[in-house]
Parts: sequence; C-alpha cells; structure tokens
Amino acid sequence: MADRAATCAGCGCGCDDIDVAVGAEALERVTGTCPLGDAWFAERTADPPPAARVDGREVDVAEAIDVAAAILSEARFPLLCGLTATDCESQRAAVALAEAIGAVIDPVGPTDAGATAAASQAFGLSSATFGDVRDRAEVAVAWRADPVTTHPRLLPRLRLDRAGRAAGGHPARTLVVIDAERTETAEEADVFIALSPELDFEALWAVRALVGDIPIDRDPTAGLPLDALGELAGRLRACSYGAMLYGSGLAATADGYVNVLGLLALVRDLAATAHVVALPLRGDGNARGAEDVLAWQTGYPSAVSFARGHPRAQPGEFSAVDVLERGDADAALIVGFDALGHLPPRAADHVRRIPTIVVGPRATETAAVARVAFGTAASGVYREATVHRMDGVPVPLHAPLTSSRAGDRDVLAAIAARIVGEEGS
Amino acid sequence: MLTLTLREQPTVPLETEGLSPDRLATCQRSEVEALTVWDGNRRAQVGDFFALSGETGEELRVEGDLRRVKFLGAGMTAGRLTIAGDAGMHTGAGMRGGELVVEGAVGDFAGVGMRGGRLVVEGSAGHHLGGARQGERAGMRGGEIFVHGDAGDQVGAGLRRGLIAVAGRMGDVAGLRMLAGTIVALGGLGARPGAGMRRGSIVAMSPVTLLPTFALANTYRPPFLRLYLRHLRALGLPVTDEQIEGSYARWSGDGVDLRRGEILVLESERALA
Amino acid sequence: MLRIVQGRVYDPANGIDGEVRDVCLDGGKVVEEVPSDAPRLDARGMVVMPGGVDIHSHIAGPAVNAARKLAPEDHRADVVDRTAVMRSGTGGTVPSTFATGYRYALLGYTTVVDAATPPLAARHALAELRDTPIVDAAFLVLMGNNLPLFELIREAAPDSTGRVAEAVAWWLEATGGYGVKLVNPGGVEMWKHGNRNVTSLDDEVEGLGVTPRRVLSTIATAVDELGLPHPVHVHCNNLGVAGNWHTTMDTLETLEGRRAHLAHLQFHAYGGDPGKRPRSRAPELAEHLDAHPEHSADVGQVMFGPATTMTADAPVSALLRDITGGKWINADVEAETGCGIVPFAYQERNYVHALQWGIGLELFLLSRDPWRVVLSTDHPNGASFLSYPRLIRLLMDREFRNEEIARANKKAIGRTVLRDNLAREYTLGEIAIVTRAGPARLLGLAHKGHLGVGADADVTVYSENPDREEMFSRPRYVIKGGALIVEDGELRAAPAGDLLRVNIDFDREIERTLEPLFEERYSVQFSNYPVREPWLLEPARRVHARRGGSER
Repeated sequence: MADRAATCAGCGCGCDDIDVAVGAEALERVTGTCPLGDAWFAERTADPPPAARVDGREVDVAEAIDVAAAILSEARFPLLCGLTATDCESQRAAVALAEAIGAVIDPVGPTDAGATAAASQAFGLSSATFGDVRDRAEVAVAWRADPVTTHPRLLPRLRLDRAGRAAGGHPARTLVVIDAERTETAEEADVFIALSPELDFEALWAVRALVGDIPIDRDPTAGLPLDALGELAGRLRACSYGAMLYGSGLAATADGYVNVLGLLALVRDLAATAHVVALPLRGDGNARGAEDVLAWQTGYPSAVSFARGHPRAQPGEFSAVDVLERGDADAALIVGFDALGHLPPRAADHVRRIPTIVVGPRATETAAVARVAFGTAASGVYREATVHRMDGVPVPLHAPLTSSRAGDRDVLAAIAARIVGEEGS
Repeated sequence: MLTLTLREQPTVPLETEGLSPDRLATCQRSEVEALTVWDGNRRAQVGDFFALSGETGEELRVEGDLRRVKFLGAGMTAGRLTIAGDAGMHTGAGMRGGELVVEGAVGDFAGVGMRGGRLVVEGSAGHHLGGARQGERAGMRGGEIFVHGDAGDQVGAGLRRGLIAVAGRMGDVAGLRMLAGTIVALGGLGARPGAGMRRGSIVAMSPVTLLPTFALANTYRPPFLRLYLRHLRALGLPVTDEQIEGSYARWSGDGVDLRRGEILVLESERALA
Repeated sequence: MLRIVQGRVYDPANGIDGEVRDVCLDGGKVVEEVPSDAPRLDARGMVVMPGGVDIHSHIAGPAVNAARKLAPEDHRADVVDRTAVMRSGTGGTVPSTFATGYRYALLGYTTVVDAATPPLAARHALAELRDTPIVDAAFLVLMGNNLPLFELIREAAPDSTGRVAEAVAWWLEATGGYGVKLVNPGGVEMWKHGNRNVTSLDDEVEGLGVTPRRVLSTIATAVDELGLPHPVHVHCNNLGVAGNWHTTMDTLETLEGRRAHLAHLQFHAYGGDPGKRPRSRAPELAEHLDAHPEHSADVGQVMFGPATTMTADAPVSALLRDITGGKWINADVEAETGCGIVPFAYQERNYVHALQWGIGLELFLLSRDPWRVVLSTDHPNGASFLSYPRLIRLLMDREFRNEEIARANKKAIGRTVLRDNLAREYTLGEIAIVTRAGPARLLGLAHKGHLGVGADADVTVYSENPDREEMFSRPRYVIKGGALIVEDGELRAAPAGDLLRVNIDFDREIERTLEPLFEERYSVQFSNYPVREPWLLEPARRVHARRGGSER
C-alpha cells in the first residue's frame, strides 16, 4: 500500500495537500480531506456506470460515439452544458466540439450562476489569490456565504477561523458574517449582522453610501441594520487590506446579477481608500476553469453560441437554463453534471424531451435516462489533469489509480473527430 | 406593401437580421426570398420560411407565430414595419429610424442599443427593453419605445437619450445605471428603480419603494412632464388628467452615483392613502 | 523542401541588404541548396525577410484572459469564422488565443514573447499558448516582487548574489519560462500594503529589507551569472509618471556593465514634475542607450485608437482607472506579483497621448543603433500588434509621418523634436532589424530572425508596395518551419507552434532553501508548483544558457 499525493476538486478550493493510500485498484485511505472531499473521492471511485450505453443498453464505446455524433450533427440547436465539474483539458475539448457542431455552450453546475462573470463586465473586479487574502487581510466579510458548510477547509486555509485568526505573526484580523441567521460560519465570526436575503442589494448600496459619507434615508421601516452596516463601512474603509467573500447565496438567486453588481461596486468604491478584494466562492471543482477556458478560446466567459460559425455571447439568451426553459435546444450534451437533479423543473422537463448525451464518471439520474451515456475515468483519481481554483490558481489533479477507460476529454475529442471526419469526407 | 407570412413556427430559433423595410425597399421579391436567415445553426433563405405577397416598398408586414424569430427590424433606419403577432428576441435592436409596430408581445432585448426611430409594442415586452448590450456602458441612445402591456426587468438600463413609456407594470431595476433620458411607468414600478442612475428621469404613477440613496428634494408640477404625458396620451397610452395636472414628489439620486437624476412619484389621493 | 526564387532578400544578421537571390528551405531549416526539381516559390520583384519576432507582447495567461472576459463589447464586431484550417474566435484589442496566432502569422510574425507571466499561473499561460497556433512562443517570468526571492536578496552579502542565481534558475525550470521579467520592482508588493508604491530606487519595500535598486542589481547580476540567452527584462519603476526619466536613467546607471533590456521605453521617458504635464526626455535616453552597448530597449509605441492597458504594475492601473472612471481589474497574485487592467483609448488631440506618440517616434528616429532599440507597441497597452504596419509606415515614410504629426496635439508635438522635421526614413533593411533580426539577437534566439544556413525556415515574403502600411499588412507568403502558412493574406495551414524555453544547469539543493520560504507564503504545495505535465510543456525547444560563458 503506497502513499500518494492527490488534489481534491470537490469544491472550488482545489486542496492540493491530500494524501491517499493506494491499494489494489482502490483508495484504501484518503487523508486531509473534508467531508465534501471524502464524498468526492468516494463517488469517483464507487462502482462506475458502464463505459457506454445507448438507450440504456450497454454497447462498446465506438458504437456510442457513432450514435452521439449522429445526434449532434443532426441537431440545429444543440446545447453543450455542465462542464463545471470536469477538468480544463476536457473543457478545451468541449469548446472544440461545440464549435464543430455549431452548438450553444454554457457552463452550468448545481451551485454556480454566471452572475459574477456578467456583473464584472460592468465595473471590473478586484480580486486576489488565497495566499494574499490569508497573509494580508485584516478584515474579511462573508456576505451571505457559509464556507464552513459549503467549503469546509476554506476558513482554515485562509486562517480566518478563530484558531487561525488567533495564531501569532498576523495582524489583528476580524471576520464579519452577514446572513439571515447564525450560520456555522457566523459561529466563527467576531461580528454577525442579520440581514434578510431580499435586502442584500439595498444593504450593499447603503454601505457604499456610508463608505462615501453620502447621506442616506434612515427610514427604520426599510429594515436595514444601518448601525451595524455603518460600523462595517468604517472597518472596511480603514483597513489596509480587506476581503469580501460571497457565494451562491448572493449570486445564484433571482437578484444574483444586481447583488453581485452591488458588491463589486462597493469594492470599487473602497479602492479609493483601502485595498479590498472580492472573492467569489465557487461550489463546483472547476467552475472557474470553465469560464477561463471558454474565455481564452472565444473571448467570452459564458453563454456562447457557435450557431453561425463564430462565437457570440448573450447571458439570458444563450444561458443553458434559459435555452432549455424556452425549449430552444433540440439536443443536449451534458458533461459531468446531473442536470435532472439540479435544473429548474421546466428546464429539466425539456432535457427529458430531447435526445441527450451524458459524459461523466458518475452514475446519475440524467445518465440513466440519456439516449447515450458515457461512463468515463474520473480525473483526479484515474487521470492527470488541471483545474482552476475559485481564485484562478491552476492546480494539478493527480492519478493515484489507473483505468483503461477513456476520460471526459477523450470521449469529447472522439465525438468531434467522428463529426469533423464526416465533414471532411 | 410587402407581406411576409411565416408558414409555420420554426422548431428552433430563426435569426433574421435584415428583415426591415429600408433594406428590402429596393429588392425584387426573388432577392428577398434569397436573403439569408439562420435556422439554428443552418444557413437558410427567407423563402424557406416565409411566403411573400404584395410589392416591396416603404412598408413591410410580417405575419405568423414569430415568437421564435429573432432580430426582426433590428437596425432598421427608415420606413414602417408591422409585425402581426408576437415577435422573438432582439426585435428592433439597434434601430436608428422608422417605425416598428408589434401588434403582439416581444421577447427579451427589444430595442436594445436603439439610436432612433419608434418602437411600439401593443402587447408586453420581456427583459432588457431598450437596455444596454452586454459590457457596454450606454444603452439606448435615442428614439422612443412605447409598450401598451407590461415590461420585464432592467428597462432602459444605461439609457443615455430617448423616451421609454410602459402602460402596464415595469419590472425590477428600471433605469439601472441610466445616464440620461426619460422612463415613464404608467402602471406599477418594480424594485430598485434608478439604481446607480447618474442623470435623467424616471416617472412613477403609483407609490414605489426607493433605495436609501435617494433623497426627497421637493414637490412640484414639472412642466416638461405635462408635454411628455400629453404626447403619450395622443399616442393612445392610458394617461389620466390627474397624472397630467398632478404634482410629483421629486427624489434625487442615485446618491452613490452623482445624484443628478430624479425619480418623480405622482402625489395622488391613492398615493397618500 | 522549397526554393524561394529571386526575391530581394533583407537578412541584416548576415549582412544581406536587398540582394536578389534564392533562399532554400529543407527540413524546417534554411539550407545551402535544394535539388533543382524542388518546389519553387517565385519571389521575383518581392521582398524576402525572416519571419517577424515580437520581443514584448501580452498574449497568454490570467491577465490577458481577464481582459478578454472584461470586454464583450470589444469582441462583438470583430469575429473570426471557423474554416477548414481555422478555429473560430474573436478579436478586438485582446483577441482569443486562436485569433492571436492566426493574426500574428497573417502579419508575417512567427515568434512571439509573452512578457509577463506570473509563475503561479504558468500552467494557465502554457495552456493558452497550446491554443495559440503557428507562432513559436516564449514567456518571461515575473520575479520583481517575489517574496522568497526578496528574502534571498536580503540575505545575500553586498556585491554577491548569494543563492539568488540558483533560485532564478529554479523558477525558470519550474515554469517552462524563457527569461526574467522585473515589473516595478518592490512597487507591486507595496501596492498590497494599502495601495502604496515606491517612487525611487532607494525606497525600502516595507518590512522586507530590500530596495528596488537592490532587487534590480542582484537579479540582473544573477541573470548574467546564469548566462541566460535574454538579459533581465525590466519594466522600470514610476511608469507613466511625469519626471520618471530620472528613475529610468538611475536604473540604467545601476545596471551599467550588466546586460539589461528595458521594456516599452516610451512609457518611461517623461520629463516634467510628478502630477504636472509631462515633457519628452527621449533624446537623453536615446543618447544614453547609444553609449551603452550592454543595454537595449523596445519602444512601446502608442498608436491613436483603442487599446487595453494590462500590466503587472497594479498601482499604475489604479491611476488609469481614476482617469477613465471606467472598467478596472485588479488581481493580486500571492507572494509574487499583481495585475491591473483598464480599457483605454489614445486620442491625437489629447496632449499626453500625443506626447506619448511623439516620444515613441523620437526614440525610433533618434536612436543610432536599430539593433538595440526595437519595435513594440507593448500589445495591447500602446496599441494592438495589428497596428505594426501603420507604425512601420510612420518610420519609413517621412511625408506620411509629417501629415500625421500635423494632426496631433500641437502643444505636445512642440515638446518633441519631431517638428525639427527629422529627415530620417527607415530603410527596409532597418525595418528588418527592428522587427526581426534585432529582437532575435536580443532574445538570444540564434535560429530566429535571420536566413543563414541552419536558421529556422520562418520566412515572410512581401509584394513591393510604396504604401508600406499596405505592404506590411498583407504578406504575399508566410512560411513557418518550412511550411507555407499564408498565401495572399489567406491562411493555408495552422500548425502548432513550439514552446521556446531556456535550459540551465543549476544546483537542485536550492529546493531545500526554497521549500520553507515557499510553504510560508504560498497556498499551493511546493511539490505541485513546478509544471511537469507533458501536454503543457511539449513540444518545446530548449535554448541553452551559457553559464560561466560555456554552453552546457
């Protein structure tokens, strides 16, 4: 039994300090992980779905490739989505395939919305990698984010948990949590501000005003905790380095776009007096990589259509959920995402109506009902690969185990080759 | 007048830039039939989807179930385009002149980046009506948009010049980051109107919750507004005498962005009650 | 195998200046002869040059990609369609990766250096370069604000480099990099201390016991000790600040006797007082450079029109943000560097912009040695690389230049010597130097930038045209590695380019020193930091450092 290094992509933290004990074709022990990480390694090593199925029937991969290629080259509005849980190499292959078939491609996962990508196109964005937040931030704000639950190792890694803040060698540090009720993260905090979710934008806007000494309407019926927010504004304005963490609670809601717009505007205002960065917490292991790969190949981070032979982007028009809810797509290729388990009902219903191809290492409800389903070798366990952490830092995924199966990237490349080959002939 | 009749609703979105009276005015029917449209990811021709009747000229009429047809009248510069029925996304986007009348509803992004002309929607409009293109600071730069039904979120985002009036209910963040121009909400107004507005006017005819960064300046009867409202009434929008004669509370904002804009809220018996 | 027949050949590295002759290619190299039945390319009446070499550009990595994400409006109107040989993409001031490779090739450029890669993001930069076809690419590794290096510099005895040389070598090997880049040494670290900066070479970097001068001289010395093919590549402190020419001079004097390349010199050539209107100090800097053969520069020409400012010099971006009031990206990279991005437009009527434009032209026209003052726009900072043909016309066509000068802000032009009606017109031979032979020599790329036997078969053939902008915009043929890539402005093939990386012998023991410094400051494991993935590093060509003078 040999000890091997591993990286966990169970969430956007990309913890690369994991040790695994390797036995006969299995991971005997995984150390250094959080519960989410344990689940991630478990589901990627659990008895995998068949390598290839067509209409639920096990077939050899080549036959499934043919069927998938036929469906996709026939489609006039194919959608390629998912992507946030696979690796950068597979994302590169996915964009190439989407282009070859004139598809709409949009990263969509269970916890991430395109709100940050869209909102940052209005003001821009000031951000930092984990190390600088860990070593420099005097004030950290978790705005409607509960990393203790969603990213269990994040606070310790940023030394923002109580123990980390107490540890010497660092400036006095304050953690402020803003949420509806006392979350587990709030228990770690010095300051907790109760705020109901529908007031996020109003509160962020109020802090902007308080930071800028701009008079505001103090009508108590508005329900804003103005005194607490005023204190927060003072802390942020006075600090030499601050960080604002926010998660899907702020971004992946009906008001997600304006909420993030409000937070980025605040960070922009603060730059006049302090060095404050925003850190969007990403739930999926490689949500950031999906945006990065799409951006370098097309110029756009999300919601891209190749229908007319070149990239065009329009959130709301080419976003996966909208495309499905409107019933535009006539075929779907879903990479590493249990769409039926996570999409809104109307979108999920349309997935059931159209021919669907699923590529991924896990047995999911979506894979079970798909026309074509590929069970792939999981990167990070059986395949080396790269993921981008939520802060954009690329980290390598290792392959402590071997598998004769194809990885996501191989399947996607094979489908593309099959289609382009036909074009050629 | 040339009439294009959609034979049946396309199964996937059909993109039809260029179907506007000014571009078709000088074409032969055969040329119009040969114009490119995009049937999803396939290049096709107008004739594959539309039956043509009448003669090309200043006027163009498009009929049928057009909910999946995008870019109708986009970029038109002159003439009159009538859409008999519901139209899809980007209707009248970037139009510079002429009149575009939709006898039904329009999808999202109608009149986005508009620079001139008039867009009339007799039904309801989707999100981003007269809004800004992704990444651009300024939205609509001129022209008029009148909606007889409701409108979705982000009406007139980044508005720089022009007039948008909606008879029914307007969604959230109307006038988001607007730079100038006028938005008139004859029906209800959703949450956070004028967020980040620098200049310009938003007019609300019923009570509305404002952001804390707006401040009550004064109450008066703005002369310019009477002119606008008479103009709207003449165009068949439901404007009451009370609205024309009434006095308005003037809230200045957005405080966090220059505070040169105003939200005018009608002070009526209803409002005060 | 190919014979390029009877073109007018400009190969300054081999003393050939417009001589009509054949150029023979075989096996991806320039050869003496090919059999008489070898395929022929008729170049009669055409101009033949080596493929272009861009010594300072920004084409790959997290900063470039953040700029792409920031500006969809910049891509919408400029698209690249998928074809049998091309992937699709978008353009604007910051094109997508595929479009970048195609457009460089369509301009006759076959080698490009990305001038600012954060080592922590090397995997990202390498992955983008793999999606940037045709051109051979190298990148320079940002080391001017690296905390572990600061520690080693502080520990080093005066007049010694201590362990710094080994550490620099380790970083280059760990990232697949080609050379060393210093950006506002010390200043970017200070930016993370409450948005501050350094303003002179002797400001102490708070709490770290080093000064910009110490960082400059120690790392420049280390680079010479390592015998790297390219000297230390310096983006001086105080970029864009009126009066910064003193800092630039101070930097050059500090580095006297050691090799150094100054990036985008135009942005560092301003007289006047901080906060006041800048003046031109191009003549003084041009003269100093002429007198110091160990030093070189690329100009960083500004061209009127849209640009995207993109730099590791984050405090400078904050100044630009306050000028435009528009979009702004800041991205702190732990322990190493920073990043700032602001979309920008240079206007000919604007005093400062016109002065910047004028200073760039002064540097070109006043420098006597084109081998050491070479062409760049610091793409996309001063302008897109797509504006090189227009810049070449400004240099070659005095009449055109004077028309353009007449249109620019009068006050600004009055602050330059351009009004003195500088007679100089660059010859085709000199253009070949500043766009090919010079950059290749400064980079130490022995197989690039010339057409001697053994050189890479990268060749650009232009149709003669008195309008030099036209001529250089649309090469007749572009050959890369012996393969015909471009014909009549059309892309015929788009093979992958090679990664150009340096090869150095160094003492692996340095890892014992680095690991503890590293664990303290980084959020990734030391063992995961070096890039090992073959799909990111291969295919690559190694250029050997000549440590202690001898090639190993």
